[in-house]
Amino acid sequence: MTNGIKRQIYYLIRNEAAVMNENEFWGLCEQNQTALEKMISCNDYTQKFGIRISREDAELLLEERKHTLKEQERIEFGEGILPKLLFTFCDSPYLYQDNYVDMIARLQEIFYLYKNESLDDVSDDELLTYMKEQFDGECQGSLEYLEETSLEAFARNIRKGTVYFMGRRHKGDFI
Amino acid sequence: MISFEIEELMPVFTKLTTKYTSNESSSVSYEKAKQLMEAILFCIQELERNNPVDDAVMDKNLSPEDCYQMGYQLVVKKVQSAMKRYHAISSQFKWYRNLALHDTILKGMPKFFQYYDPLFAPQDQILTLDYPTLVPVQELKGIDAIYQYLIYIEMEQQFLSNFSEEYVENALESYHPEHEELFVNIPSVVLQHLIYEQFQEELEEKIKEGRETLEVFLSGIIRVFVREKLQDDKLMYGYLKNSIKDFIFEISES
Repeated sequence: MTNGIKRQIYYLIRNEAAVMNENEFWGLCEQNQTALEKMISCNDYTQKFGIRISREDAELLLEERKHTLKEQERIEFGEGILPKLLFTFCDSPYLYQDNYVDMIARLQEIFYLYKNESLDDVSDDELLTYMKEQFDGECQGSLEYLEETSLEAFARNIRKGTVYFMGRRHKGDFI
Repeated sequence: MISFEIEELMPVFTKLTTKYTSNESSSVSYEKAKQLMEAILFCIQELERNNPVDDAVMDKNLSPEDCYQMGYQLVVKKVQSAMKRYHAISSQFKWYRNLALHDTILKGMPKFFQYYDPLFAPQDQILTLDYPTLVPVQELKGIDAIYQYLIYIEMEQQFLSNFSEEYVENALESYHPEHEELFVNIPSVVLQHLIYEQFQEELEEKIKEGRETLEVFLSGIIRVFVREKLQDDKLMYGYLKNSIKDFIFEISES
């Protein structure tokens, strides 16, 4: 391995900005075009619930993803979580065409935050399922309640190592 | 020399990360990403370390994935070799009531083999290796550090087997009454004891003649010992010679 490559990777690993910083590394993981097409293709399903995402909105959400990932110090690979978020929440009674993009952007923030807060001990699907249940149920469409109450309790229990959260759940345990 | 652009390593990184998350997570923390990238680099560097001048490896135009996989296999083999070496050492292991040696080898090493993760964290050494060998292994990482450390311990046990347990423990007792709790290298102490015991007068003369003369004198004693008792093992001589600088330091301090 040349000294130049070693140095680049060193800075990458040690989180220094001299040669390659986190943005550049994140950029290498980005597959924006794939993610964009995937999000547009979600319309085939979401339009049944009166929701369609435009190319501009999809690009906006991808840009939001970049900022949120940087803020939460996470790296995403593959198609990412956005398509799953669209599929999961498109049939929510609290989402409609006018508020869809803003809500999905916030849900995305909350999702990454709680992946960190749960110490990555919960899978994407488990977290999304819980978020959807709570959002449509106890939270009655309130993102604040979802973020600051429901998920706060959820993450606390995961950190405590409660067995319920290894793929099994009990209703009412976290409210 | 193996050389890849960082972009070429990304597919290897993505594949390893997907495996790490069991495909159940589309993202990982920066910290975890760094750990996994370090794991990849460690394996590729393992391949380099084991093929420093092997043109056959270079000529094959191996992909980053190939280099990583080959390096990973070398890491796994090294773990297996280390485990065999450990079993051989531990079967007749003597710790001479030195707690650091006991805890590092008899308590620590089994934990290393239990918890070492060659796939997702081959660069992690896990153990602090408190018992000091004559040559430190701090610059090595992961299984490389442990493997080399076990080689040194094996050499030390072989050297010490030329003395009775009583002799070694007396040497340690003469060195310091609380030797059991000291982080001290046992062969170093035994060699010093042997030299004081058998070459006291010559030693005192050589001390007066200066450091260089003293070094040559002490090297000569070690060389004779290795030739007569240890089949003139060059590696053993090279290893034991590292005790000289500490010996000279202690003479100068006393």
